[in-house]
Amino acid sequence: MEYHNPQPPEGINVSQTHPLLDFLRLLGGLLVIAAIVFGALALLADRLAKYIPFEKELEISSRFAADFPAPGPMSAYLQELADRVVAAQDLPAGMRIRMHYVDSSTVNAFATLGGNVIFFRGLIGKMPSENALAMVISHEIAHVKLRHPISTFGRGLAIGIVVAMVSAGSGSDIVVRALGNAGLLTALTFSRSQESAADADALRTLARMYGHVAGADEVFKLLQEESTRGIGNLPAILRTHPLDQDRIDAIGRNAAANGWPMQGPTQPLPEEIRRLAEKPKE
Amino acid sequence: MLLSNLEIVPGQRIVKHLGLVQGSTVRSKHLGKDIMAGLKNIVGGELKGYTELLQEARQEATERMIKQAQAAGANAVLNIRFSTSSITQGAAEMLAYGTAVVLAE
Amino acid sequence: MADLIIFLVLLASGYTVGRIAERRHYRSIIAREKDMANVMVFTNRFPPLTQRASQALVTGSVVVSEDYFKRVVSGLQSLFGGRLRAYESLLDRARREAVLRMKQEARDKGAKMIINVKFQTFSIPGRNPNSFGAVEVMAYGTALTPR
Repeated sequence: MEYHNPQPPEGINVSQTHPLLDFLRLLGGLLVIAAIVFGALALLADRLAKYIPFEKELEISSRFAADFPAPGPMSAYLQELADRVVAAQDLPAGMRIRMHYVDSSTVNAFATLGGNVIFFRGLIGKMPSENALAMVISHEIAHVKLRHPISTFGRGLAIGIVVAMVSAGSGSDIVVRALGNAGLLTALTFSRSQESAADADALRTLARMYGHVAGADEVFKLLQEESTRGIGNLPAILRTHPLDQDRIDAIGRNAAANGWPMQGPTQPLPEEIRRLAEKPKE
Repeated sequence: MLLSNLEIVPGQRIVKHLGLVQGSTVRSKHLGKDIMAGLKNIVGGELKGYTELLQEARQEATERMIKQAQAAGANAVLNIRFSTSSITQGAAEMLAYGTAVVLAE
Repeated sequence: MADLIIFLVLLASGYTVGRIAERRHYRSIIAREKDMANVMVFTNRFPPLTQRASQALVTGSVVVSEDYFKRVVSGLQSLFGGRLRAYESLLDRARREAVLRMKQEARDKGAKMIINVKFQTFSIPGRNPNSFGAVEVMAYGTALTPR
């Protein structure tokens, strides 16, 4: 009986694929699947959101009613202006808009569940006229009218469930975190098509209120200035607001198509409001 | 290729011992099966998905061991042993090893 | 944004350093295997009866951990199922290293043959439930020294 130990050839217990190619292939596959799944969920959430009655939104938002800032002269003024806008905007029955004001230098405004719209002092301070402010108010009210807040909320919920399922099955915490962040990004903001739809509705309302749309493009020229001072110029696809130049052009086209004059007399903001809004930054 | 976990083959003579041969693989089941297994945890019973996983792993490990034995010029592998361990959640490593021998015809 | 950059830096360093270390380890393993080819290993349970020999238990063990790149690739791979190629090479290296260390111990005792070789693998879990931690591979057998 002989005893030998021949050396086995290399590569039987190891796979010969190049690791980097492997990685890129897997990543590509995952991104494609994630895009399809998240895209399908977004579409679904949009379609189904209309079937959730507005009363349900009010129920949800009433639970965090205590978090909204207390009413004051600014929010009273905003509410009064909003009521004028609502008269021109054709809201469905049962939908009420509540305006809130936050005394912060942030240049922003957003609409959330239950018809609640929040404005920041920084944005109001930048408005050149009451028409421009009315445009922004109308834009936010359009989001409520088109049920964008509840659609985004539902989308966020659906994506959260998908991410939870993936995290239960995946063997790596890194992959789970990455998917979670991607999902969060999709859920936090209105999509670009939603923003465009809100723009169009707001423009129509502005024309109905004043007979012309002066002030509308001023808002976006202002926002364009603000954003170029920020983190440089990110490519359009990475920013959720359609590029401000695109919006300005869209407004011009829309106004021309509907015969609304781009120029006209604009009303300034009331003196007291302008004074409150231009408090020095803290 | 004869596979056995006996020391000898009854009725046949071993001519040459050709040393240790091993075959190993690391496998995992895809996400769908993992989620099904998670749900199965509620009712209990056999996890078909994971049973399949380990069967596939054992199959592959054995094939690789046979490949090493063939490269050494053997026609049988004796004293086969299996070793399993879980590497991460949902992935298992299967090792099959034995001694490659040449049996007299 | 900073998160992404840190991730890419870790990934790149894991890939480059990991590749270099792996190639170096394989070269060392192949060289040492050639060197130790005269210490033979078998899984037979019974020693050849023709020689009188003294016997001793010999073991060789090694603990390995993966690099960041392998972790990410395996995480992605485990979503799709199938072979985790990154871990296969890691465990192959670990096993061969363990056998070489066992052979070294046998050679130090003057042995020419190790029989009844068995392997033991077990994983040491990492800090969070999803992370790999480390894997220990141990090879052990009885070394026969001809008397």
